[in-house]
Amino acid sequence: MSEILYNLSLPTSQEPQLNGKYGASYKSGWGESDRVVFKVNAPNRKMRPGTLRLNGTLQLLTQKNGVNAPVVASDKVVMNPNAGLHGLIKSIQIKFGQSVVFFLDEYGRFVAMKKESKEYQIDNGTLGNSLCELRQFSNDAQPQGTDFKPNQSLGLLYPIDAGSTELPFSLRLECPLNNCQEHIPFNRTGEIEVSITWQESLKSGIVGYGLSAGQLIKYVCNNLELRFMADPEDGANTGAIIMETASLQYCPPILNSKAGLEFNSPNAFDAVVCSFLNVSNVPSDSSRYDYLATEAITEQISQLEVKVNNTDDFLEYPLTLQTVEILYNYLLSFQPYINAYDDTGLKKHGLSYAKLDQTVKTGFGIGCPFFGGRDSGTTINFNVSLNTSPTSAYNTFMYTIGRLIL
Amino acid sequence: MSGKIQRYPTSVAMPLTKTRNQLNFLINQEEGQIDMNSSYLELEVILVDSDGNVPENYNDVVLGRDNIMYNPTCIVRDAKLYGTRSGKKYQDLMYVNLLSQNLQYWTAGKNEIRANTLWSGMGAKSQDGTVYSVFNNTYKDANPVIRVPIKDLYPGSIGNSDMFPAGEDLSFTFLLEPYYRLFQSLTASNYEAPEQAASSVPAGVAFVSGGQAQSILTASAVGTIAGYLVNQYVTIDTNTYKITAVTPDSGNPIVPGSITIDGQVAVGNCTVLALYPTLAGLVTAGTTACNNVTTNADNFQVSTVTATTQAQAPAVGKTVEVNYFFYQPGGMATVDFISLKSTAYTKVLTSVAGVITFSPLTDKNGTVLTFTNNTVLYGITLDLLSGDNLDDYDWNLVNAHLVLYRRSVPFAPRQKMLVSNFESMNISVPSGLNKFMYTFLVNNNCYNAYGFLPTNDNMYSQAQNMGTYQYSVDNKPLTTLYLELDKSLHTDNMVRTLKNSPYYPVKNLNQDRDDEEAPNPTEIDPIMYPAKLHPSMEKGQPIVEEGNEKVNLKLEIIADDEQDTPGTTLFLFCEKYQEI
Amino acid sequence: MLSQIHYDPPISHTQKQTRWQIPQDTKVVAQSIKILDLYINPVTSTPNTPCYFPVLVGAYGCVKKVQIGLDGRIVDVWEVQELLPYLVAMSADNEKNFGINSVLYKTGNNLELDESSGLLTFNRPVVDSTPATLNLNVYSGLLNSIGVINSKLEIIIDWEQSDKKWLIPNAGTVTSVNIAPPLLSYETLNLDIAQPDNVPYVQWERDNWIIPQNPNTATSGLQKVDLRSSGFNNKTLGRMLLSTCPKQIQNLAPGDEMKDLFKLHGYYMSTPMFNETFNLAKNGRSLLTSRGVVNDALKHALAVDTWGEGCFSTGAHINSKSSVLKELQNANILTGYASYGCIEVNNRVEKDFEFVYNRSNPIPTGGGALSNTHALNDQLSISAVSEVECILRGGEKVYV
Repeated sequence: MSEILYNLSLPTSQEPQLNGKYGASYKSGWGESDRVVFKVNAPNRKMRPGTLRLNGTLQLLTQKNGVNAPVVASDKVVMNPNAGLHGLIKSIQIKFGQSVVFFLDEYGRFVAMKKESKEYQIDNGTLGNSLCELRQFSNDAQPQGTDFKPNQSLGLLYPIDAGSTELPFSLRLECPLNNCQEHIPFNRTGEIEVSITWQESLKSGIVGYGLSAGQLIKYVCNNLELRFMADPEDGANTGAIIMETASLQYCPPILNSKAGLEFNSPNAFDAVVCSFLNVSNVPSDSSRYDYLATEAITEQISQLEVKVNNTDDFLEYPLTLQTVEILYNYLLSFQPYINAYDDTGLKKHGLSYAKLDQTVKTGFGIGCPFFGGRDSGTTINFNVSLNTSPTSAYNTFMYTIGRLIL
Repeated sequence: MSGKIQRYPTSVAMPLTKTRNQLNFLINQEEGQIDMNSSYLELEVILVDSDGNVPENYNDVVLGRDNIMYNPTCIVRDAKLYGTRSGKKYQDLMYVNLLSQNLQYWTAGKNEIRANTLWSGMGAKSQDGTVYSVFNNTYKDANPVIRVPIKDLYPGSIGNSDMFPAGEDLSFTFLLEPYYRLFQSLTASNYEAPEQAASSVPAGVAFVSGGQAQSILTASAVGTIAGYLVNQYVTIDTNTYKITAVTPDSGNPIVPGSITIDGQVAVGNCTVLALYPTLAGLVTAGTTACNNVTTNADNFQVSTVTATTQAQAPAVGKTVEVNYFFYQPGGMATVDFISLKSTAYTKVLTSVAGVITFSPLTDKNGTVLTFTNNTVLYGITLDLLSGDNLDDYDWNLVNAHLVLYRRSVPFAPRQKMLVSNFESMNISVPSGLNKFMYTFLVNNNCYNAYGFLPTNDNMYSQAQNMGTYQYSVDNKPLTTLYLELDKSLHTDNMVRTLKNSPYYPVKNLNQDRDDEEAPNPTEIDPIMYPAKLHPSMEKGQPIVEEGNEKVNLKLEIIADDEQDTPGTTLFLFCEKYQEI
Repeated sequence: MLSQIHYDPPISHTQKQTRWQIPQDTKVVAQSIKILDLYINPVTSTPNTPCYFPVLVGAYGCVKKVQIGLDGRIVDVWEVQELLPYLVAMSADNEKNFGINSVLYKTGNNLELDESSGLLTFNRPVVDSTPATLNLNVYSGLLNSIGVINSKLEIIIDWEQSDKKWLIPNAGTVTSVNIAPPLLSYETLNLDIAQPDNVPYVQWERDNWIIPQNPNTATSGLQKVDLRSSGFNNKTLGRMLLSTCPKQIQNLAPGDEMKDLFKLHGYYMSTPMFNETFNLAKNGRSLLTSRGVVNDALKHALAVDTWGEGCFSTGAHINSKSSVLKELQNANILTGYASYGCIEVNNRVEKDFEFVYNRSNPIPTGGGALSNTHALNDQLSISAVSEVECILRGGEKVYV
């Protein structure tokens, strides 16, 4: 019968037993570096785009020198406001049948970059999904900042209650199946396999501002499931189905004042975005730094050139002293398609001045929209000149945004 | 074939000024289509006075006038787009800046405006008073560069298109604004608002020794530390710290190590200046009233407060907004910011530079403020309310580029294409009448019309006593009643008309925007006279009237009671379809 | 095809009901009909107390019932106020915050950032506000679908007289409300068209399901209820909203704690339950997968997928989980998940629906607005409001 719209997929393997690893309250669940696989199929149906969700419950704890303790209010634990609980995911891989069609590493950071560029920052502009993903700015009294305004770079305070430590969540996954304008028939994809690798907790964007050195936040996810909606197959979706996809390209860190960020993409793409994090801000021994934050490197860029296959035939002039133009092109990169999908039309390019004014300087990244697309094998080169040589290197996170065509 | 981002120079010699103001770009035949929505005109602009001098500083300079901002389109008066070989006239629109200021006022939402201020160079003032603008010294590039979106220069479907077919040579021609002044400074020149009224000692408020204004805390000082509370701020050697703990609590002698500041215990000699004197300090032993009070302890008033501003003199004649922050400790160990109250008060500065006297202390309605015992005056801030219209300065354009984003999607050039665009007309409104009526001849493809009444000084359309109107087409009224600008029926008409525009639905009404965006309130209250002639779309498809006929669009405006029409110009912009 | 905007006073007006009639052949554009100049004057038990509209509902809450009549026959009826926050949010055709809704229609986003406290607070109380505007097509599925109306059109509005429902006074209660006669504003087109027939549209209908009092009053006592509903038999349903309200809360006088909850959705808001799970089945097959709805995040996600992202755009939400999200509560705003259940049914119902519902006692931790004051083990009324597909045939409403 074709009436049932809602579908469920459970993990292909059992929830790992924790055996007291984190204490008595944490019996079983997936944690850092674990991998969970789902098989998604609904024969004679087509998936409704935008409805693929990863649901589960989350438990947090703190750990120092091997001793576990529950999270308390004075730890001041917050999520990254742009990624929310998406930061828990390191990578997602999707297969249609036997072929890998999508693999995105450093998934949490990409979600943070994309959401920040497309949605409004003010708390009373919160959208529905940001609630169940804990992905919003907070109007609570902030642990940082001394003025009366809510600190616009901090996310939601993680709820603490001695009585219960499980927080339910529902993540609308950032993947091609949710970035499409039309239905995706299962008779064209075959069985879809979704596998998720969980992120190291230090890199999840969950930060405790009240923690001490050496204190780490650990997490456990239980009761995982994938849900999606699928309508009956009616033979209407026969043409090319275009989905947005993204992938991480390896790029070396920026060490000098003149740096060339070059990569060669194995897939066709439409745009490139890159954000940075200074090595000194990468969390190593405690959960007090936000791995998903974007360093305000663009302030220090004196010149940016973009070359394609080592020629200037795309961006025909260097951007000099043009912080704004660099930002503009970065933001345009998140919407390179001609009506490829509809994102409710919210566009946020603003508040950068306010953002640059924050006590902790976070900024946007660099990027370029390549209208008309670029083939696989294209070499892209961002030649970045900084005002001064960095004292410690900037790690680069370079993503290509492209089209997956079914 | 692939897309590109190209930056075209102009062949016109620089600099351009308001008297030599034709700007032109010739784009040779290129393949592919132009993403007009993302493209922009880049203008490197400086301010000069009549002697050609550049101002000393650009502090708080923005595009705008009378405390209201202009968007960057203000600098372009006419915008034309021609295909030089085909002879096609894609657009020839005069007064595109007037259209853009006034239409955008209603159709660009708050967040979009915030966003545009960043990359376009438009001015914005945040709630804490910081001014953001390419013309503000803090953010200025080598020369300020403003970016005018092509979308606003070619309003309608051409500017909003992300695939404008460009298979021939194109000529982008602009006439820059020859008449209106474009710049203002959001604070009066030579004035710096103080952060707090440092060292302000309300006259008539005496202090007991120790722990009060100007007290010095040294290793051997004794005295009460009443009045220092956790979360208050104190200055030690020019740095400001927050008190995080006070031990022992009030009433005990100050000893080294007894005040913890920002996590560090203060030892040795330090000068502690209380920025925030407490009115409770008036209480001398055995009494419950303050000096100079008029009533009992729980209802006292302060007769005179003197605030001292920082080094630079405030501009005499300017209006200052004063905010007092009070709280009532009431036995709380910690200060709760929630209980702070701010009472705004405005005063025109007439006195000697650096000193402002308030006598007595009142709120903005003139009601004398009364306090309960132990109220703490936490701080006083001063904000200059009005800025300066920079009439002595004009713009010089020193460089210009057209930045076009091209797409590489192949296309077959079409013979004709349907666009939605604008046409402008204007007519002078004589002064001294009690009713004004004019019939415009508009194309029957016009589905919306917007009437604007900018003043001689300000591009924003304002009522100027012409508060009631009605449109008719071929003598059939478009609304069954005359509409008054300040009433809900007019707002309804405006919402319906703008909803009929495919590109410009109403997104914001003025009340909210003013409250949020303008700590310096503006006197300007923009209006428009909208008309919906016929529906523009049905089920996503344009409804295009047949033939090239004209219709008579009559606008009747009735002056307010006992007022006359001003001498000004009425501009009518018609939004219509056209085949090009 | 000339367009004209009309402004009509009502043919009759009382504090209970207002009627408008538009004669035949006027060619009214159905989607354009609005109520303008709605002046609402509340009288409160404490004099001069400001009154507020619930944030997500605004002045739309003052309407209890809407009836649309064509040629003397009522063809569309709306009487489901619990649906209002969704209807209003879905109809927002402007920027999400501070858009025209908040000013003109007196709905949504009346929250403003108070600089000194850093918290979101109210603005625009009813008493000193400008009049409200209501879009009738928010209520009526028929007006959304029918296009241009040629028949004689009658619009009957019943006003909400139970004051608790849609006005939140700062102190005390609302003792009476005076509504001045509003105007009806609509557009007409001067073209020749036939009277539309065979017009499909949706009508909102409600069925009430009662969950009896929880007999297990021990800590974590679980109640499982399995009920059958015939209220939607022989109808084709679209989206459905499930709204829960304990009996005690329905009759409650507004105290401070409840005010915080009602500030957003109004008094007909869905009350958060504890540890609630549910599922809906048809002919033995679960519509919400075998697991059903197991926690608040999933309930919320369903709401977003069914009604759209904009429905929660104010940023303030109802706390529904017993303990975890209560930490986000502060003086003016409760955060957490709204507790409406939602489902896209998309099915014709021939035989009864089966509704499986579980809830358990709150763990008495002493936090939050609900656990101490109100008996959540009370008899519960679940209001199931659904889109029901109809068709206008021969001037009558026919169920599909």
